[in-house]
Amino acid sequence: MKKLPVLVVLILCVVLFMEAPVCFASPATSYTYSMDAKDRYIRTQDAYLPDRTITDLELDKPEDIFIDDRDYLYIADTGNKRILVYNTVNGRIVKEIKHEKMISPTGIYVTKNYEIYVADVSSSQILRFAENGELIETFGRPTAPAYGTNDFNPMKVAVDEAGNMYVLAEGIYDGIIQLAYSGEFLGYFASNRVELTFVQRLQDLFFTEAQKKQLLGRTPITFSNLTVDRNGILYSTTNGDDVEQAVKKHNTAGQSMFQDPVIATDDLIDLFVDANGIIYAVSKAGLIFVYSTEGEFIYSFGAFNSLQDVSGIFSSLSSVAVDSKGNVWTADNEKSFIQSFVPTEYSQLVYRALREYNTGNYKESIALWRNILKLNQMSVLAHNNIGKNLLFEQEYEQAMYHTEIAGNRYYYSQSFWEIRNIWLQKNLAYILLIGVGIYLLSKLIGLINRATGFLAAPVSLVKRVYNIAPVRDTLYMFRFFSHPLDSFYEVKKGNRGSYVGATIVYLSTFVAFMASLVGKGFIYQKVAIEDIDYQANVIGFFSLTLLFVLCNYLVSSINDGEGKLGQLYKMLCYSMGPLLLSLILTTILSHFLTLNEVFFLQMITITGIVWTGLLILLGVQENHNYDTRVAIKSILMTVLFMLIIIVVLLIIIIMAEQLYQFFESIVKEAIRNVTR
Amino acid sequence: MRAKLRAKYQQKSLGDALSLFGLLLPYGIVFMLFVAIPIAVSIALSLTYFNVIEPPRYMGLFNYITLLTQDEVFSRYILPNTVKYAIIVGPGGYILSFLTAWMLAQIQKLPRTIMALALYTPSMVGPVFITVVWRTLFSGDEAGYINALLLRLELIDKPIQFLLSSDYIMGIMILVSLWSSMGIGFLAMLAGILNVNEELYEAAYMDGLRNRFQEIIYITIPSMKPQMLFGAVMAIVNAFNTGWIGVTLCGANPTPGYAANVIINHIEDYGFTRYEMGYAAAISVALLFLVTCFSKIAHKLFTEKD
Repeated sequence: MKKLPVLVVLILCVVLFMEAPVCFASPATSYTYSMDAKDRYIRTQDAYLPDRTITDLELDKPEDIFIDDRDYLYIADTGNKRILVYNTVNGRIVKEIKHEKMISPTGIYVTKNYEIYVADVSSSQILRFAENGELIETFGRPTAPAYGTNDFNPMKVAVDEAGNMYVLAEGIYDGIIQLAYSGEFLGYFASNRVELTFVQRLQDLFFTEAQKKQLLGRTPITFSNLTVDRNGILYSTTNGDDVEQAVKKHNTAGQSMFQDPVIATDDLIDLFVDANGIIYAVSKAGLIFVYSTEGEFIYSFGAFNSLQDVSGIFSSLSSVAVDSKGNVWTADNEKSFIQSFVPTEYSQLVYRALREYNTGNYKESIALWRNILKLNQMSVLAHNNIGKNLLFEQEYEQAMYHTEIAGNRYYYSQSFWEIRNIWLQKNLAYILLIGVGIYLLSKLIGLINRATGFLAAPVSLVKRVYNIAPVRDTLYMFRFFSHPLDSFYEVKKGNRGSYVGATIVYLSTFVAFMASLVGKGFIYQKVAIEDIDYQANVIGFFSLTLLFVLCNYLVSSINDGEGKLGQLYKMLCYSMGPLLLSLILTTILSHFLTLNEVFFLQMITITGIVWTGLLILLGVQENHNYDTRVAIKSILMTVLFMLIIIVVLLIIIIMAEQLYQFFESIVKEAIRNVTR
Repeated sequence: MRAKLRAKYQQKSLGDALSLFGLLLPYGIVFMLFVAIPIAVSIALSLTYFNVIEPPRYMGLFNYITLLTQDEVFSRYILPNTVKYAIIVGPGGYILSFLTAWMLAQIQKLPRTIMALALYTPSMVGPVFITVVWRTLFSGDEAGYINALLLRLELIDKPIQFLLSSDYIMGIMILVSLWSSMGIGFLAMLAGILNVNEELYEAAYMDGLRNRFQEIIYITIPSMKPQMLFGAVMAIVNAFNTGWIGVTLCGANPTPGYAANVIINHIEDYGFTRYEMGYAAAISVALLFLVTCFSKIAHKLFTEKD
């Protein structure tokens, strides 16, 4: 046993030496992730490589950094009570700003004419410095009555072109404080709302005021940072559960302009927007997310915090800024260093392509994205953007091809609409002519037939086919559409319909159900064919329907129901007619309809389900000779009974498994004891 | 048989023919003046380019070809909107009319009359009332009733611009249309239900009728087929001709993102905003065609012989 530690060390050594060369294969210390067509993270080319790690500035807990258009890096060196201006081009300190009023600078923003705004959480004011470091003025707590008795402890600040200040302050949950040029309180901009849980809503309804006071305070999730880009648009990050809204690009009303949910984590701490409108957001944990101007997720890189000194990995990431060359600069407020990342060729290509798209040069953009495709054939981002560009270039078929790979149903649908429209324009005249032709032809045939009777033979053949029992009984399904009560009565009496016919309807419904599951057009095929849980669908379909028949029989037989098991089975099968038709119709139509016409599919589906539901209700009523109220009660009880049976079955299955394991372990134990 | 009839008519004297003509004349004149001639004129206009100032210029089928192939707004928004609106408001309003009429028929006369009047009113009052009631309800600021209610329940944090948002306007338009769909058709059905012979019900119950539902299916509806047909046709016409509700609600034509524009608004847009009367006439002929088709279907459904 004493040899064990030696052995472990030996193994470790071997493993470490084996791993070592692999580690240095790529200079990146973390992977870059993108999204695939099914919204899963997928590794992609490295977008950034760690570049400079600056540890010699003697920083102490830097909370915020900013880069102006001269590529000067402004560091809010919170622990040292100073602002440090650092020239990223030649790597020299430009100047250091200190002032007795500046106690703990936590937020910094530099305007276009290089005025420095500093949010100081301890001295409760915002300081405005001139370019040379002289203090111009300070803004304290707003005196306007609308501000109320709130404290004013600004943490972050951003300034728009008109000199309006946007301030995040500690303990202010009403939103972003908006101050005018003069420091006058203009109001709250963009508030996050309190998300109440169901329980909390119940508490609101029933609790007394005294009880409510005892509850923990409900505060909305708070903004964690904000910035204003060069066009004066305000962006913010939010901490907390509502990840889909974690990054916001605000319009003048304060609402987010992003259409789609944002892909991020719940601990975003800072963001920066570069001259091209690319958005960089960082999480406290050390991940850096990059978004396009429209909030589309491009990729993320970085790894989770670690205390080890690996370049590109942080202990506690606090801030991000980007210089004019696209280098990403970050600050770590625990180990107090500045880390920069340099973009790879891949990411520069992406940004150039995005820029061309935004300026409307779709052809150039397509060419650039095609280059990216050469680097990464499955890049969803590239396919998506090529598709978008091709749509504007009116190359619809190609656009369809690329958006399908990217899984972008919205743009696919738009391209498809255009293609369909072109086809309709070309062929509409023929379609109309054929329609009129068929109509006239049918009339003509009718006339000739009346005169000569030449159709007698085919008609009698059709009649003979119809009179084959299974065919007739299957087609009897259609009578239920218009005459449900009579038809159920006939089936109950055994005059019409049969087990064979009913079973054919039932199985056809199952086939149509599976076909609609796998065979819809791309726009409406929301779950990829390979991701469908066939077992659950097949077992679910049969067990639920058959269980319904059984339970309904059992429940009704103790409630004066007349229906027999077989009758109920036929009833349920024949009731599925409308559902069957709606499934077939939607599956076929989904190949020809775009998202623009989604209403029609919904309407058909709803009609089918409601109609089938009504038929089942009428069928129960007719078979058991109930009135409507009792029939509804019977169906509700059936559903309840189904639930009970399912629960009981589950319990039995679990117990049986336990029992099996118990015996299995006994046998194993016995074998082990015997053989020893 | 036919030959016999023909012979009978040929036997008629000139005086008889004149009196027949005289009897038909009032109806004929009114029909020609208000139905046949306008339709003929609009069909004629639909074959021209007409901007009210210059005399119409003959264009052949150009307007129809444009409508079906070139007018992207029509095929992308107007047609789907119209069909969607008609499918919900037509049958929806019809079923609603029938159900309320049936329910009203079950109560005493005085409350029935008052309720019927109350239900009938919305279909008569028109744009002013819609502005007063619904625009106040769905007003886009905090003062709008729905917004105020949602804000108080903390379900939203900012008032929703119901009437200026392409997501909501269609739904609101359908709601308002259903609310005002109890028109002439509803009154006819109420009268029809009240006219059903009570003895029929008694006889049917003797024969084994068991519940109210069967009563409706087997007695009420079969005995009021004419009223049902009338109600259906009125519902169809209503569904295609109440497009002004959307425009009245949001106060602009076109509505935001064409979300609540139906065919009738498109006609207005081309006829009275752009003064392209020829094209507008072509669209109205298309509308006439649509309504006729649907009415034909209704006739087929309700004059079916069992």
